[in-house]
Amino acid sequence: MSNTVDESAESEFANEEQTALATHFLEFADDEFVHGDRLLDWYVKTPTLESHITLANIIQDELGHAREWYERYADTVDMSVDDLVYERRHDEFVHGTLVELPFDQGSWDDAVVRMYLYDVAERHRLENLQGSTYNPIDDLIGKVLQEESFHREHASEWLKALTTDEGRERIEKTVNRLLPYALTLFESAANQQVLVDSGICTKSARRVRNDWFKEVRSFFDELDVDLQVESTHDLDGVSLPEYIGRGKRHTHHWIELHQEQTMEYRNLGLQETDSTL
Amino acid sequence: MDEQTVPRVGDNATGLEREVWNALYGVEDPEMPISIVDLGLIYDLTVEDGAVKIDMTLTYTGCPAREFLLDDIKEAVEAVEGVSEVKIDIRWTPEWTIEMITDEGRQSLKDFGLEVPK
Repeated sequence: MSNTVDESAESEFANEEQTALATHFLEFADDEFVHGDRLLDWYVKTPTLESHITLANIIQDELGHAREWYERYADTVDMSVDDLVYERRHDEFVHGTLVELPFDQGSWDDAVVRMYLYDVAERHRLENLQGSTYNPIDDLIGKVLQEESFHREHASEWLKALTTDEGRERIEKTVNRLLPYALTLFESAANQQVLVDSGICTKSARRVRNDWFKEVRSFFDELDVDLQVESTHDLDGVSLPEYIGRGKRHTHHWIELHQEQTMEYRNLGLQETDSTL
Repeated sequence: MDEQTVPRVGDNATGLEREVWNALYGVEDPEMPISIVDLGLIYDLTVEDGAVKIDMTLTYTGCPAREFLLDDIKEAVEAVEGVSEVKIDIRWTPEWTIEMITDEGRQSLKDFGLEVPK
């Protein structure tokens, strides 16, 4: 084994790179954390026992990844991982709004479509970090990619099963409804030019988004599901939802979920700051 | 990182390092009767003037036993005479796979009723 991760790696980066990197970590962490937490709405309610078990594993993975990203972010600020989860106000979270939405009328196709859009996006975003000049990321990416592959397989298999005959129309409606929200995952407050120039990422978030869309588009074409967006060119014309998260405004669903997440922590009198504001 | 050289099992260790490896062999995975060394979790171990530094991995990132396991390891290694401090760093590269389980580990799992595919 080569020597261990260079603990002074951070100091190799200038301030603006530090800031871009930290923002990037937190966006990843919050996406994973809120996605995993929201999926819990489905735990033990999926249509098959096998899916309960799979979903439990997926949730555990997403929370595990969130912990890894939070740890990397925590190294750049003076906060612990638990502080990041429990001491922040809801408006300090920076996930994209796709992951905070409740599931439409408890519909399983909403969950399946969302997992597919999210997991494919996650793979593209992770691959963009492969070979990163920042060692603490490089160390993690392979492991997360290894764990993510069955998430995509699970979502894809369900989509194939749900798009036979009459189910196709429902899936089509859901995909087109969620697509603008999925685009929020590629919004980023991190300076893309700095991330690319410093070798932390290979591509800008916009290019990652386009590559993601090509894959999503071709998958749904195979399933005969029509997307309202034809090409990556049209993607630029799609209006983002009113609430996108990412340092901007969230939906009220997030405020409610955040209240639930932190309730016991507050009940036990553990909070140091008033995170309920 | 050279994937051929991990995991480490402490084959040629002597002195205090040998004692530390022995202590690690005594720590079992929380879910199965197999030593964490035989499970292939230890990626590197250095001992310098009583300060022990361990690089290790976990089988998956969401491992719920992470804190228990790290506490067990710390406790076991700190109990070795001559050890003054223990630092553990988690590494995810290379990714742990079942190929990293040693032959002894495979035997322990077989005795437990689990056959690990080659």
